[in-house]
Amino acid sequence: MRNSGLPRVFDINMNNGQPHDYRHEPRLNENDPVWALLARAPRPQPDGWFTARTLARCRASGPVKAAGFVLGGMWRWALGGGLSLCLAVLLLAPQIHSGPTAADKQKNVQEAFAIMASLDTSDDDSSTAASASSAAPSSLWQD
Amino acid sequence: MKDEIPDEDSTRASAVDSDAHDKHLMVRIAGGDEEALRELIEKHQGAVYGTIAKMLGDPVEAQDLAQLVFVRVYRAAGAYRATAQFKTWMFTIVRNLVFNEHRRRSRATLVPLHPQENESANPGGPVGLDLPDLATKTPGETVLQREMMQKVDEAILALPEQQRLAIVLRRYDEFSYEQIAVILKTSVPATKSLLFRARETLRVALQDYLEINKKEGSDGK
Repeated sequence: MRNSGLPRVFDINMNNGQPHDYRHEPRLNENDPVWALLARAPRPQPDGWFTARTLARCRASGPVKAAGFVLGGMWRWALGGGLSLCLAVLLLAPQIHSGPTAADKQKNVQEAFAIMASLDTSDDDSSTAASASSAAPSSLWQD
Repeated sequence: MKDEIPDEDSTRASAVDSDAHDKHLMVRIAGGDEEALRELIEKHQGAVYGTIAKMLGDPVEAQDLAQLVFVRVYRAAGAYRATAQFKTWMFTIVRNLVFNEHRRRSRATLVPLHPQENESANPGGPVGLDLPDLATKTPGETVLQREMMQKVDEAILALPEQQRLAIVLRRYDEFSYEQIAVILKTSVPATKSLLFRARETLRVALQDYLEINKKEGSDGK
């Protein structure tokens, strides 16, 4: 392992490359003077009526939450389903609307081209006629 | 050294048995068995109430919050899934309630009605009722013991809440680093760091009493 050439990784949870054994640490604590001093101030204990009062409070809080949990779960599912449905509608609605509009636009463009094409042909006729009519006075003026 | 490991193993085995029993009690509570609830409360009330009292320094508030912990355990029995150790799960509820209470207190400035009178009436410390042990100790020793308890409690209360809970869980409930890390929602190295800093702060705050304690210990030997 040492001659493998790889750098040895030291982690805070490792002890010279070996997994740290936490089982011995409480015994180290016992030798700590702070630990010993904390033992001089033990935890207070509840009074004799604590259990009775707590049981009464549990009873007053209602039955165990098993049914409530199922209902709560159903509410959560219903709410989640509704929200996802709304989101899906919001996302899909523009796409649904954009489909026919694109087709309409294409149709309009085609119609516009057709109108333009028809206008072009009528313009050609009128322009030749106009040029013919305009040529006459000029020739008259030149004369 | 070899003798210590079987002790640790037997302690761990009894902890596993205790955890299995707690989980069995939870199943019974979910089925509406009130006797199981009583057993669970009686088993854990000392640890829950004691931890909260050490955290808040207020026995009345500690009673209320400890009851609330058991109410929450009872209400959640139907939905309880034994994925983690029961005690770790229950102390996560303790943590949430205690930290919420801290936040509530930090928002609302609480003024004691008669601070000076309370202190003089109960010099034994901010928590618990301590009667003098006149049978085995001289009045001077009793006063010193009370003063020491009060100073230790004050020093613990002066710690930041995460450090305070870590030290109380480790010292009084003998939780492992891993369990404390789960309860505090942090990593094992971070838990060790919290405990180290808490211990160093307490060492400085209780310097005088550490020397007295050391002297008493050497005199006792």
